[in-house]
Amino acid sequence: MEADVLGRRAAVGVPGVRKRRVAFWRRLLTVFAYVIVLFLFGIYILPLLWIVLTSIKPQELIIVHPSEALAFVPTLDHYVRLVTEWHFLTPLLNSFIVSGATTVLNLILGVLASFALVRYRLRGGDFVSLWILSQRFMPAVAILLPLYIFYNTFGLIDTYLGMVLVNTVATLPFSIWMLRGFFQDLPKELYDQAEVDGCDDIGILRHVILPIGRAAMGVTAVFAFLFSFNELMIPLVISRTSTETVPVAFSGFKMQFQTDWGAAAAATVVTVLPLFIVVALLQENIIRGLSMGAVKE
Amino acid sequence: MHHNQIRGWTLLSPALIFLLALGIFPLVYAIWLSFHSLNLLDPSRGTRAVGFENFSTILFKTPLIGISFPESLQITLIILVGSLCLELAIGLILAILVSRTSASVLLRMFRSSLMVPMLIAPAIVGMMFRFLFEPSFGLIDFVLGLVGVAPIYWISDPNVVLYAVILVGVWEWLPFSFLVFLAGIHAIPPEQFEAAAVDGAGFFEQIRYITLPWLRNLAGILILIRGVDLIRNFDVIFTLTYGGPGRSSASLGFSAYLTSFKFFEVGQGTAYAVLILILINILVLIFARYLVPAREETYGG
Repeated sequence: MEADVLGRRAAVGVPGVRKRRVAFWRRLLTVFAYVIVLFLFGIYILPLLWIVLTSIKPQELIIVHPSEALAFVPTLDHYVRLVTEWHFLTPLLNSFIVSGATTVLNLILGVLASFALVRYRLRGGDFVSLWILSQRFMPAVAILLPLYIFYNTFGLIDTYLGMVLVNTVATLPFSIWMLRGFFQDLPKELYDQAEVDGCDDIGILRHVILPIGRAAMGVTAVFAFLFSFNELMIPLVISRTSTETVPVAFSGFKMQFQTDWGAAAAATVVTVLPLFIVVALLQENIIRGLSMGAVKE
Repeated sequence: MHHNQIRGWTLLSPALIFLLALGIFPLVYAIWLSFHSLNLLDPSRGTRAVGFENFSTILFKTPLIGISFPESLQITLIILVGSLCLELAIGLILAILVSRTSASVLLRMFRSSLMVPMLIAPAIVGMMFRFLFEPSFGLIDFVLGLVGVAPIYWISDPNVVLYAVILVGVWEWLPFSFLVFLAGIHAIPPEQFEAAAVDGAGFFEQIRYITLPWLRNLAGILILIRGVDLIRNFDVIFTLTYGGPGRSSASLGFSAYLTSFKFFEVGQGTAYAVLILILINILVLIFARYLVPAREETYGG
């Protein structure tokens, strides 16, 4: 501690010439940093903006050279076609049903399991935690073929139940690991106080964890939903026409000779725009979620 | 104490049973299948044990899908190494630049547009870039043309297609390494830099001896999470290139999918999956320690 104070005092006494030179470099660096951040912003916003523009362009202007397609009368044609010709509402609804149910199942199993891992000093609990973490890295392709064979036998192909079960296997390890991290962050006094107040363990879960951990469960739920929503290989294998989800529908915009880019762009806008709301809601929890809870901003 | 053990395991058991029944049991079955020969499109062929034949076929011969495991592995590794190097290097430089200057104020306005790409389904990102990469009407070749670059056939040129795949991955995930490193830099106690400045350490020495050592754990976490995703890489390949042209961008995940669910060659498909699983496990064994102890430390906040 003493060294810090000394350090700060000494830093003030740097000779003036060096200070000026440092200031020059600092200013140059700042200008450079501003340029880089603006450039970065362009790289991220321009493609998205271009897709939005494409989605409201008349059909005949989509596959011409960009310089000839900057002025146009906006149209909602592609959005209409997306619904009437591509029946995009069906996969959209399917995605919401499957991901929604997957999320609920994730929360029920995940809250119970992570509460058990945090609350009790289980013999082998650390091993179980690590095993669950390792399951997060399992490639879907390793279990899909056997599941496909079982599903054929039990008639689960192209059913919501079948889709929800596989999606839950794929997302549950993440949910347990995240919730475990959140519950570990709760102050230990909360548990002790509840015990003093005469709560049993189920009482602690109901009266302490569920109300206080609501934000944690919300964040975990959003991620479980998104991971399930974004999954491509699982629905590609398990679903047919009646439970087809959004990512599968995307790979279907390819027609025999030419991709229907207008409809694809409209579908992109419809699925990407809500993500801005998700980002606004989750803010600093996004990096925490994507890094498996390791990085807290 | 004993009572608590029972209660704990009871609460844990629904999730465990679920994961064992629908995760581990199929996995064991997949390993069993990888030592057998059967094709779901041709049930008359039956199921017979073939030992390591599936593995030797995909490793040393040309399997049904027309690309062997080593070739597919090479494609995957090029994408993996290329993406990781770019993401880590650019992310680190950006984080240092922004943390050292007032550009962080500017960044705060753009943060959400940096975060959205990571949440978009990779399948959609792949589709989006197939459109942007079009040589005649795509945005990317148009912008490059403005600065005098001749049209690049990103998706249809087998010599370029892997760069295209890398670019798409880096576009989606660069903000991740950037923001993770930025959070890490903000967690370094400022006294360390002050003390170093007093000792006469310049900009680069401070980075070399303070910033980089502090960020080592985070780099490990990024390599683990992105590395595993890149070994499994499937979604972007499927919608961006479909493994093409020819098989020149057929990553391991894509080859495994094609063998399993287009040709339904079960033995070879599961052999692919087993080898992918081994690769992922190697990565997890090396880098998981960065994820686990990191929990006990706090970054920022």
